[in-house]
Amino acid sequence: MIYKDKGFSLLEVMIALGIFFAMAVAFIDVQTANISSSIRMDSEVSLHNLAELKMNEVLLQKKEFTNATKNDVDAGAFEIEGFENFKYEVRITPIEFPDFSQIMGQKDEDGTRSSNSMQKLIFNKLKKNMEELLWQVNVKVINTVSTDEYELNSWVTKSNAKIDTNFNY
Amino acid sequence: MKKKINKNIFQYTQKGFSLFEVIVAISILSIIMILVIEFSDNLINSSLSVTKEDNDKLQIETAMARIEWDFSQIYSPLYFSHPMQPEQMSEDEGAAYNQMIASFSSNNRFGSLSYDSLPIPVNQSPNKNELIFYTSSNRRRFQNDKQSNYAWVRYNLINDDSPQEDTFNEVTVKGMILTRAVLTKNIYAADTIDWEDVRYQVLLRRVKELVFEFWNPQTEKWTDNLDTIKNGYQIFYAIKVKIKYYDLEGNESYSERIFRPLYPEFTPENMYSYLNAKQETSTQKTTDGSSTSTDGSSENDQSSGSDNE
Repeated sequence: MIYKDKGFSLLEVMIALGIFFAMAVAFIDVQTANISSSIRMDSEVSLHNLAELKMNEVLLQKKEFTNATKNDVDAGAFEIEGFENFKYEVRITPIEFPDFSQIMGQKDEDGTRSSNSMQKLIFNKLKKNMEELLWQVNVKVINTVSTDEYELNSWVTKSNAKIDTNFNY
Repeated sequence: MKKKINKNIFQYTQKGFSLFEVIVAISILSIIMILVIEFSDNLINSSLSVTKEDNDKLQIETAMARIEWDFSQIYSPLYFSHPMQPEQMSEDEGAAYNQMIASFSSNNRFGSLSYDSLPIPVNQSPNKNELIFYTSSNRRRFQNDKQSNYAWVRYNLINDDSPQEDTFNEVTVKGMILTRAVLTKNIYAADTIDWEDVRYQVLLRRVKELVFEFWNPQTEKWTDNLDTIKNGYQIFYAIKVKIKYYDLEGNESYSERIFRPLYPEFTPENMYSYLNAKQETSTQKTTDGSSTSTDGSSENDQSSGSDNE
């Protein structure tokens, strides 16, 4: 037998293979996207729930506010069945209030407005009281397997805080 | 020449496919088709099962959201007031109190009165997986309905007697059902609530175990016994819900959540001692004759002194 047909050229074969692989990749992609998004949802929901649980525990314990600094971290692992690979970090820090000039968005120029010094006085009083009264609670939950993180913040009031109500100038 | 051209038009030099070639082509095509069908079938199946599993996971979240809605709005006058203390009342006040409290002595839902003469509901936890409480989470659905935002709610576990509907991967899982029943009308009636008459809704199926625990602020521990908490039947500080349940494939899952009531935590001032102290200072002032300085201004003077330092 004499074959007169030429075979496919290399280019033709490559194009055919390329089309096939593009199709295959698209198929597999769609399939894994379903599963991976489901896993992500599960992970995010449990991170949020654990953070909320820890936050409630912290708020219930009514910790006395000492001179805690930012570096004081209460860290540990959850001892809840099925969530052993989750870690938590709790930070209780005094709130940081921005300065008056930062809030007003201008540099402190002397005497631009007559009410400026009064505003500043009231603001400084407010800042002092807020920093005395409010503490920030930060709860961070870490999934040690996937290294996903979730943070929750809340503010607690200091029950024995003394508020400066003296506005006599 | 003409003849030759005509011959070329009608004479096909190309051969058709041979039978063998057609068979090979068809078989290759069918193999590819089978692969494609297998692929897409797989795809549809996995997306279906993922949707079903996600729905199942969301079921516990929606149940917990429902519980949170009720627990966060738990109501008791004790969150902002304290109980009436007849022993600290004057005589005519005591007589009025006796008249009011008479109807509460036979009331099974509200046992006593707060200082503002608001009825204090009595919550119950007959088992560790049953909880009956008074909440302000009710929302009236029709404008002229005879109900308010207050309601009695009961969470309970019951046995699953229904024919099994949700089978998945040929695994049948049976558990108990977490139900929520809500009584919105005649909430102030004196008789014990007959929960058999109240319709319930199903919150979660395939529950293996459910435990309600309560926060004891004195010991700073969780307990499932309301007796051990001071005023435990009248006020909740926080509730922990522990649920063990099966997923669609029969695997055991566990969920633990803490819910706090929305009322801010503080100890209400004892009004009797406050009023007595006020009375005493006012009588002192009239006897001393010094009416120029009040307590408030003297405090202010002190704080201003410390500020200047």
